[in-house]
Amino acid sequence: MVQLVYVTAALAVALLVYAAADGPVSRARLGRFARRHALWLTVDNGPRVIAYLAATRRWRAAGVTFGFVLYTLPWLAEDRFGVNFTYLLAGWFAGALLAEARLARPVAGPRAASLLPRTPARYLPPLLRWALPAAALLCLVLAGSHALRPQPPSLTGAAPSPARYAVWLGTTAVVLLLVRLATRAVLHRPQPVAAPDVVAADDAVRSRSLHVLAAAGTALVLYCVVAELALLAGDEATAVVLIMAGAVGVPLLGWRLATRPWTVAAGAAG
Amino acid sequence: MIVEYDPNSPVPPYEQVRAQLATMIGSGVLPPGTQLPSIRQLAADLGVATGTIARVYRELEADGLVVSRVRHGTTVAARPSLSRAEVADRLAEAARTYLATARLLGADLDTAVTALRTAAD
Repeated sequence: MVQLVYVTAALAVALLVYAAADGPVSRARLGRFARRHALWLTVDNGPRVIAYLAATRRWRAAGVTFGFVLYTLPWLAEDRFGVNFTYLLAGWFAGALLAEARLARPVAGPRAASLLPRTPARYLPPLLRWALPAAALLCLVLAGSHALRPQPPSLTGAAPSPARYAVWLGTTAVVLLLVRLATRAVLHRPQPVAAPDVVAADDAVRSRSLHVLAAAGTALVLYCVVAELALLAGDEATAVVLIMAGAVGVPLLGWRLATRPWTVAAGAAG
Repeated sequence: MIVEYDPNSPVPPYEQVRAQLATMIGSGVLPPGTQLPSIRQLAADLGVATGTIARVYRELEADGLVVSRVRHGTTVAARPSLSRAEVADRLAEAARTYLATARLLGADLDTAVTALRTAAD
């Protein structure tokens, strides 16, 4: 009976989060988006930005909810409660990917194309372009150092298993692949040939999507790095500190990266 | 700079796009060194197959108008330096074509020259 209450409460919280996220986009949120991308909101481009913010928030919230339920439900079945930041972040990342897939709809109207190349360099600052490859390289180096030299005992007293490094490396590879594919999909999403303000909003939306994908991917890979460092740590105290710092620091870093302002250079009109 | 595609036109899609790009390059609207969008981007924006745009770029490259390099994409090629005689030949050919069009429209030589001067301004 107690378990059922826990499960019901967890599902209720999850549904509440989802429902709250499905409400109208606030003026403050719209303003933050406009400031981050130096976008001048107009009657014509406003609805597009609002639709984007609503769709992405809905899917990302659904992803977080899924991650929460996926991890917490088995714990509740044992009359315990637990929240795992990695699950939450992974769910959020999955929601962000799904949002981008949902946004990839063909544009209506005449078929025309701008000749301005859409490249990551146009939509992302250098730091975000290189953060994910750098984190992946770090993950690879740590796994390599494990393979090349003997490891100290882990928290359980057993030597770290190569399989665990393989899991983190595999996770890193999957994240890299997903971010790369999603980035290409965002860049190749058809751009409307419209007034400059509408095109500027479309560019801002693309930039925001790429920021979120790169930052979430980097955070996920950094979780793998933190886990590797914790295994490589010689003593339990250091490992615990690393894990705690990672649980708090990695999402914060991801959030900081995702919300960095960036102005997309305007293309030649006409 | 925009290229358009009319799905109802009898002209094949690749020729529609190729002709527009060739005109832009030839007229200097797209100067040498200009980076063109990737095949996938242009195909997605126009709603045509990637093979169509790949053919456009191949034909433009065969005409010496663009250069494609792996990992660098496609850029507008440097214009070949022509001899004075070649320039004169090409101008004469273009003039003949223009005059033929003017005659078809019922315009006399003065009107055609005036239109040319207006376009140059």
